[in-house]
Amino acid sequence: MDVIEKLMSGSKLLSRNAESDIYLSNYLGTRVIVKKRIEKPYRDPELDLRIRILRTYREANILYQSHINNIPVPKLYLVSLKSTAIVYKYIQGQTLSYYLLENFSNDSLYFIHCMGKLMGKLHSINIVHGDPHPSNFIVSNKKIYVIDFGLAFVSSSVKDYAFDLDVVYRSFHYLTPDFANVSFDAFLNGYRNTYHNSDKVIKLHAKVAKMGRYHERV
Amino acid sequence: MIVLGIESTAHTFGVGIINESLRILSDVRRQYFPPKGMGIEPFQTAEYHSKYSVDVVKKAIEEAGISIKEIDAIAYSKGPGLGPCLRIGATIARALSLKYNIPLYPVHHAIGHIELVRSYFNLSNPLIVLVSGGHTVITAYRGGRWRPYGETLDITIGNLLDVFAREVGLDFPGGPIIEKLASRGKRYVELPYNIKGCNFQFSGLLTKAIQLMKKGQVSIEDLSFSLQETAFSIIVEATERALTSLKDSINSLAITGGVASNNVLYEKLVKMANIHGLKVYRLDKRWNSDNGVQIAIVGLRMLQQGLEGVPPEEAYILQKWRFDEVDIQWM
Repeated sequence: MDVIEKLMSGSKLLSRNAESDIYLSNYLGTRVIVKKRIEKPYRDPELDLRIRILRTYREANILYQSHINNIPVPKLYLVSLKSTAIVYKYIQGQTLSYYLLENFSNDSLYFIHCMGKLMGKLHSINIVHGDPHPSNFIVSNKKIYVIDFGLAFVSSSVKDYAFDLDVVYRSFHYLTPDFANVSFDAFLNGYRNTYHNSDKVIKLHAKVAKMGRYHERV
Repeated sequence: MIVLGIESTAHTFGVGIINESLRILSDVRRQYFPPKGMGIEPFQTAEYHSKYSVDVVKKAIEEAGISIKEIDAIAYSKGPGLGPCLRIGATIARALSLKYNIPLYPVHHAIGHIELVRSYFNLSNPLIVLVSGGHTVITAYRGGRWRPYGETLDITIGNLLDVFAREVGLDFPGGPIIEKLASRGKRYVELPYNIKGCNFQFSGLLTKAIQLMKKGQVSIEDLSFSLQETAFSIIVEATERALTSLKDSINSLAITGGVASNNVLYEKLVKMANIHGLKVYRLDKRWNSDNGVQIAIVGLRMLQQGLEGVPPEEAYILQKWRFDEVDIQWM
């Protein structure tokens, strides 16, 4: 049994996400999250293992890259490709989705603006998040952190950045249809603030947003 | 109340007649099969439809045992689909409407698939996986419309299977043949697995699979197995992501559209749903593929809601039409 499995065995299951179990635990006197990517019975075992190892590796790698580039992410402590699990610092707070769904206010718009700034910083260092849904941003003491880099990768392609923007754009439409446009504007304002090449990405996003079936092409 | 529905978006020309208690009075269809090695060519398909359309309508009315004057509404597939095919259905619908003075209801084809499975099982808050040649989308009803929570950003799962089949010399439709071959495949070959949030893409997967086949190092059985494994895992993962993001507001899963008849995909979805304690609903094979009843049922909903039909001169078609642009007044 490796260190991570020991940590998990003594801690409580906090939540069950689409691809992982999240445990709250203690490591060297610090509250930590143990995120274990679990087997999916619907996938071929070989494909399943490949996906879980790749995503665990990517997440650890990109958490580290982000951290040394001063992007607010939880600090990474441990990685085990064998257990397809990682351990990082627990950040106390609410997800950004909570601020959008429960009580949409000026605070929400401020946090969305910060989310935009954060995405701009990620793209500035060639990191594509892959799933920048508001539930993957945590507001803690008025500061915003980004988590869940399982679908993240390094790329300098403007198109990949535009796909990131599209996940954000769509999520606003599903979460708060009434505030979707004002939210996306606030996001883009933040994004422009921190990323010098933002205009190109935003322009391309207009096309990417029409990539679903049966859209009139722009 | 009796509604006649005309389906004419792609390969199938179908007429279905139902009454207000959703009893199916008749269901008649003709499906166009392209020559070997070819896809569904719009004009040839439309020619086929125009050849058989009158017979199909006559037969449907005859089998229903009604007189045409008893019909309260005519629903037709307005889109999305192949222009020449859609025009055949719309033309027949307009002609019947004018001649017998019956109101006309334009219907979105995908809403037909969704409403058929939703109504049949009486689902209250389902997450619906629509997998066909025209659509591949994960959708739930929110605020008056069916919203896409995940969808393909390039080709559909039906396209993927059909084009792969055609390129490697299998017959049309490719899905059932690939399913059979895949059941004899054993070895998983690595293929591109492209998912972005809850959305996904299949074109890289298609290109790679065709390349591998043409190189000749992988057997068709193993490749069919790997193609299904990869594509279906992507769809099920996207569904699981959508499901967990919607959390408790969803109380069932349903799968519909032509590819819903694939048992490998269905079983994968069931395994995923089990984790979340949900049941997966699926209609009999016959009702997953395109049919006139799915169009009639939406027409019936519109009629029951007291909506007025469109005048024949406004009964046009739309080749490109998003299902999330359709206001649903009956839920």
